[in-house]
Amino acid sequence: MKAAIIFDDDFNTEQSERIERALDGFFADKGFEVGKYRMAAKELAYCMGCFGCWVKKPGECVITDRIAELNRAQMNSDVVVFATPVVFGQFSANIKCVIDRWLPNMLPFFETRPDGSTMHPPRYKDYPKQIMLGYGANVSEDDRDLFTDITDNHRSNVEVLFWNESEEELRARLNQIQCKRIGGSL
Amino acid sequence: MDKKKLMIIEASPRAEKETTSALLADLAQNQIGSESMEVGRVHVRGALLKNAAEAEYTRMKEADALLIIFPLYFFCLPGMLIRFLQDYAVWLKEENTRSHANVYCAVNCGFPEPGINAEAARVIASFARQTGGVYRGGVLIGGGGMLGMQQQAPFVAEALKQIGAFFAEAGADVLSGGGKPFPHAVEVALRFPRKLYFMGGNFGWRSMAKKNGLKKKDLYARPYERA
Repeated sequence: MKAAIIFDDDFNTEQSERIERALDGFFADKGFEVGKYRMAAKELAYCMGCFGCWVKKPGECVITDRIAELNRAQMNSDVVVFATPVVFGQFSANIKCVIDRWLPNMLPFFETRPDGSTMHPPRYKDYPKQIMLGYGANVSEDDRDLFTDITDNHRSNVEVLFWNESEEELRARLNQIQCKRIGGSL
Repeated sequence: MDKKKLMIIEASPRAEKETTSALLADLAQNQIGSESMEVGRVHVRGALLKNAAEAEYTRMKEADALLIIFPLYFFCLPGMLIRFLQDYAVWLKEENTRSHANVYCAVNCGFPEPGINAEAARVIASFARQTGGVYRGGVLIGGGGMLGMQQQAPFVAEALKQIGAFFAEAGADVLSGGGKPFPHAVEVALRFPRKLYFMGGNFGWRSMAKKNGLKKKDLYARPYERA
């Protein structure tokens, strides 16, 4: 079993160290092989919405930087954790660049979800479980709710967690999640 | 009376000049600019790629209002825009100052339903709160990709009219000092059949791929299939 953990390298704090320790312990106990990816500013180009990953080089970003390594690592893992500072209630810039450039892993077409909303269908038959793990000092209740809503209101099969100053609690929450590949829509 | 200043933050990450955000920024400039209102523009992609963000932050700090125009990426702000705003917040802190601007937004998405933009508008509201500004409201636009391509079509013209009305109201709100109620979120959907929108979109992807020399099956490639 493989886990990929993506960190924001520009927000190395006591919190992020404790989160990393908790994740290390959890995945070691479960026997996972862990790959860690630390993203700093300017490490990845911004997604420029060119859709080349759909109509020029399907499944791959046309910008040649670390994204091929990151997408390959994610798609070959059983679980991916995005450990992200919460900035204005969403993902930090470094983490959002990784998420934006995950687009090649979906197909371009439009489909309707069971709830009536629109989605892009999956490119692969299954995907790693994705976990959005937010953290930050003095994050307001509103921003915590927003961080959850961004994922919960629009995506299925993606978990949202928030760091609550307890390694034990984080490990307990992770224990409730089935860290294995999933099929269907994301 | 001193002129008020509104800064349009145009935040499409796309390299081309003709983007939906640029179209909306032109519309906003036409609707809001007047003898009483000076309208400036910040091009986020240009500022970041030229390492010129700080000069733009100074202009933003001096503005009475910010109108942030952007496309939805994965149900929130594109990485490029959150980078620009995240660094603006750090810059304000380093300069030991706060913004005082009214903040508005226009969010467009490629999916037809406008409500999908609601969380992105909330992110802009959070940005306003945390930088000292006041969030006033936003226009949430579905089917944004069609705005530039079909401007003469009646259903697009109608949507652009509604968006223009929102911008005009935002301009009036700035001039009035924000003392009156302002619509928190205005949803604009194209009056166009969803089924046809999907058919047109799906045909478009195949057509673009064909122009690039790809066959239909190439669209379904799985380069990272698990070993």
